Amino acid sequence: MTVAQAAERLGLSVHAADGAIDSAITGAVVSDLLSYVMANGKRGNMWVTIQTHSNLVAVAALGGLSAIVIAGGFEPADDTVARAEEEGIPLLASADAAYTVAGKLWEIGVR
Amino acid sequence: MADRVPADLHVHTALSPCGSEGMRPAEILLTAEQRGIRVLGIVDHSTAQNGWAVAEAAHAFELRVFVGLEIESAEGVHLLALFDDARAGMDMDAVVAAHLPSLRNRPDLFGEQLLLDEWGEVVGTDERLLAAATDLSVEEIAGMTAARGGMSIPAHIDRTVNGLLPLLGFVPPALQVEAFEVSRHMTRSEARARWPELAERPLVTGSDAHYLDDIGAAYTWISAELAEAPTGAREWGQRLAREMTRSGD
Repeated sequence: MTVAQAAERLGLSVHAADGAIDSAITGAVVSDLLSYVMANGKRGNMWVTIQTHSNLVAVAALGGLSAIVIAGGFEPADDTVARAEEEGIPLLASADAAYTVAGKLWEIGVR
Repeated sequence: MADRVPADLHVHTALSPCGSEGMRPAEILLTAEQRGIRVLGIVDHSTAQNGWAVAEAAHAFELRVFVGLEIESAEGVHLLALFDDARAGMDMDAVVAAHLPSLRNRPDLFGEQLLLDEWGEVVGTDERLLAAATDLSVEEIAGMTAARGGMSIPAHIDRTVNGLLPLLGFVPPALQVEAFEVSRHMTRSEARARWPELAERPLVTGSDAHYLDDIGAAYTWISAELAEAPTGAREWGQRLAREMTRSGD
């Protein structure tokens, strides 16, 4: 499963780095504590969060995550979009709650 | 240590829902003075309304009082915004009020929020849910504080609940604050050992007192000269930062 395929099946909007959405997803991590993801996010994970701060991008880049999904209808901050573009980290968003996004990812086989 | 005096920049009043009803101006000031505290920061969650009462009452004490707020950012991070006087504090109070959710406090769940006068008499209650996050980023809060002549200090940066480092992973590069507060559960040298990025950062400690007995439970030694320095809060914070960079415990 690639980021692009998951984005299409979940109807996620793409806010940055659409050139990098063909990378493979290895699973997902759900957390709003960035320190938790720094310690526990695994390479290729898709990260579901309601945080929108630009620190998200550095944490995702550090851990080699495949994409960030901002759930709950929150808009990514402008500097977050710019950083994601710079770092080539796909930045996606959903109007669904984080719980629903995680459930849908599980349903389409991201486990 | 005569040239050094203790500062506790993080003390709540009875207006904070989790604050004891005993946290009234004279009692706070008497306790602080008895414990040798010379500089006090008075903050409540999302509001500075009781700050003026404490600042008024402080004229009878040998204490310098900064009036401020403990503001929760959209990311869940708590920041202290400290000002010279109640007027500047109330200006920030109005800004924060416009960025809080419109929820009402449930005293049975969160506690009473008592508005006090300088004599410690209850003059009302704040009906809003003060223990709530604004929709402002940490950078926006620090910027608005600076624009009003105040100093910003992210509170208890080591704590998983509302602390900057667990929530945001690291100090955002664009964040401009005067100092960082380590909670009383950890020493500053322990914090620097755990987070190497703090090595060159100005660190302070504060009690985060919600009860009289906790006032001064953690404090920061500052120079007596700084304690008395007749500068505005922002410049005072910058001088504090110079004293606290690489300082130990």
